[in-house]
Amino acid sequence: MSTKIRIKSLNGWFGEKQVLKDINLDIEENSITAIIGPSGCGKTTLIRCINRMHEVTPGARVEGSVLLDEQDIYKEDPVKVRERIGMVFQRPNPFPTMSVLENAVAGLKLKGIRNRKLLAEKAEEVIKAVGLWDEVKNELNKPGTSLSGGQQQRLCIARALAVEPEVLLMDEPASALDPVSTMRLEDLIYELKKEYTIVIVTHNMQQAARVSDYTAFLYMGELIEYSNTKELFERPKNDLTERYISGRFG
Amino acid sequence: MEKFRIFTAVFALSLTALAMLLLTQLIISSLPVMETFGFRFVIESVWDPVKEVFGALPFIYGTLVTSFIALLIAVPLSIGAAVFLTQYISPKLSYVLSFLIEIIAAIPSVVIGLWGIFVLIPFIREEVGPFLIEYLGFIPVFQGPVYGPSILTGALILTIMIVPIITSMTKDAINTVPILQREGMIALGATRWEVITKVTLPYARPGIIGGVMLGLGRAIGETMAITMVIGNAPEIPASLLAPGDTLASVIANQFSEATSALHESALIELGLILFIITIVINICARLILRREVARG
Amino acid sequence: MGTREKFDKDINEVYRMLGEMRDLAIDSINSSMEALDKLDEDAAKVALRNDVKSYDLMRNIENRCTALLMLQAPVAKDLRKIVTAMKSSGDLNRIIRYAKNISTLAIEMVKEKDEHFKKLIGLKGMKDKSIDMIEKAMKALLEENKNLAMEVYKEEEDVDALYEQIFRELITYMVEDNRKITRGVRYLLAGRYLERVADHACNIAEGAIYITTGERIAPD
Repeated sequence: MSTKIRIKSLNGWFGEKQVLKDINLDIEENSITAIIGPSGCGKTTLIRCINRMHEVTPGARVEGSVLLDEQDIYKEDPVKVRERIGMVFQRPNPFPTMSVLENAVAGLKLKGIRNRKLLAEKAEEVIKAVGLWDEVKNELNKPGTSLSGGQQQRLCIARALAVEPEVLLMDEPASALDPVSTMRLEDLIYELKKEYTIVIVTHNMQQAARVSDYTAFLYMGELIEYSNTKELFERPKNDLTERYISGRFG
Repeated sequence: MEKFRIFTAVFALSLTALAMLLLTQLIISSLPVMETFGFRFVIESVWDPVKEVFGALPFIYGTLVTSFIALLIAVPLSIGAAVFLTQYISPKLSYVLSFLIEIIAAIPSVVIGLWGIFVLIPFIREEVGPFLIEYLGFIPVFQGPVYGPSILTGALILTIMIVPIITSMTKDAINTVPILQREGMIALGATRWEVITKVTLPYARPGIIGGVMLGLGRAIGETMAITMVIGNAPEIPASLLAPGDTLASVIANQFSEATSALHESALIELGLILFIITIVINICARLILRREVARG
Repeated sequence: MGTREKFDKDINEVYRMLGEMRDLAIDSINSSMEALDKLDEDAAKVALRNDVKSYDLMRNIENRCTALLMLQAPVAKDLRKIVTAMKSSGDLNRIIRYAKNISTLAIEMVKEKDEHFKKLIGLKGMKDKSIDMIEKAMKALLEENKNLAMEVYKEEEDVDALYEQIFRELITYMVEDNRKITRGVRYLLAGRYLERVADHACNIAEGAIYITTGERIAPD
């Protein structure tokens, strides 16, 4: 196992407010790393710094570096960075003006691929990869938003996979899903780890415990504890972590 | 509760009644012309109050052509402006610039008309007209002598008047596009331009269409400013650089001096036609919007 | 009552019941050893009754812990406390079961009208030691005291040594006089049971260390 992403002295701001304070974190290749912490602790900002989405927000600012395969992504073209590091959001966000099939390959079209046959093949491949094919193969031309919440979220994952990223960032991907869809999603995430490095932000600690190999606990913008998941949940070293995960906060 | 319901029902019904009354009144008043000319009224292109021959086609043509050209120029301009104001600059600067653009909508149309007479007409006569004739003269609509007051001038005046409306509606529509939609595209490795063309504008389309329809309604009904610059010639000119007239203009111009009952009735029927055109546009807008919403 | 308070209340109740089991265990060992020493059938019956009570307590603890695991998905110390409570209740139940076995030995001897051929000094020593170990282990568990738990580990060696000593001594008796073999084997079995009791006390101590530190430190 080797380090895929190395976050070094990362600081993040929204306007004057510092939301990330000197974060240092190494993320293992082909593993699932969960980021947990109370609302407003900076966990979403942290993963948004990994694919340079943070700076898209007006007034947001980043300092420090994020190395992907030892190359600082902050010294590269953000558009290229985002092709290598895909993202799945809190709520399913398929494009309503595009069909299921168009949604799946929206990223490939951006890359200039126009060959219909190739696009259809790739769409089938990624929709199969997220276990959605049997459910939607007769609805490929319906709008992406006509699917159920869980299906939409898997479509969004398929959409991210189509670009063939190396890393997949997930910002509370199950927060808008019912328990059955959540379980399916977790199974999928677990499967995807074979080929991708996954970083997942979650509010749900049981989810972090279930799917992740490593867990990072963030509090008020600081990285409080980072270790393998079993260790962190069985015997956290930091008292703050202990209190947070056992629900003794506030 | 019940009392209040009756109370509000009275208001609602009285407004509906007012609209129906207006329509009936227009129809009744235009009956003399309808009886005399029948359907020929709308396809006849001679308008001669002295000989009491009335054909509405030049005005229908003028109204539709000026409005159409105005839309042709205003829509890309407004969408471009709205995209710039919402996507490329800080909210503060956007606020200031938007305010300035919206101020145009607040200028009384007679003032815009005056500006048209003193600035736009000379500009068309001396710069735009000769330029178009020289470089685009091979197209029939850009031929002939340049007068200054013309269909094109009218269209440009209308453009100025509807750009603020369409811009502000488009801006609102763009602002309703969920951040998550745009970020979804950015995260796939889209450039800012790709995000605008592939997500923002398609998503905002129903709202933009609404804005365009509103602008079109305004353009068709606009009276004062366009009357001052269009030249008021009751004919269908071959060239856009020649004077023409619109439904609204001719009513405003001739109503006070209409001496015969038939002339007056003809003008009222023009009003009826204008009314019908706007209603048709409104219905179309609603149908398009409904289809768009059903799609999204 | 908030979720958190309810959780704390439930887990405190579980640990109160563990305390009850400890009292039963000590009572059982004391009375069963008294039954063996004095060949007193009434004293022997105390351990038999305690065994029934202990089993109910253990099931009760298990049910509560299962419910807590299911409903609260505890982590960190909460999780360690629940896991340990389940295991320790098993250990205490085993201890009480061994005391019952000693009582059974006593009852058999009474039935067969046996008399002691020696004073049970060694066994009493083992009994005192193992009761002390249970007390310390349970104190360590309830007060989350790692050092106290480590002491229990050391005492186990003493118990083992005592057992070794009794074993050799009894072998000598039995080799000398084969009429002593039946009684000798019973003494040996009693020693063996007490040695097991001490072993379970060590398990409890291990749980105490796990709760306190999250580490599993086995006695060597």
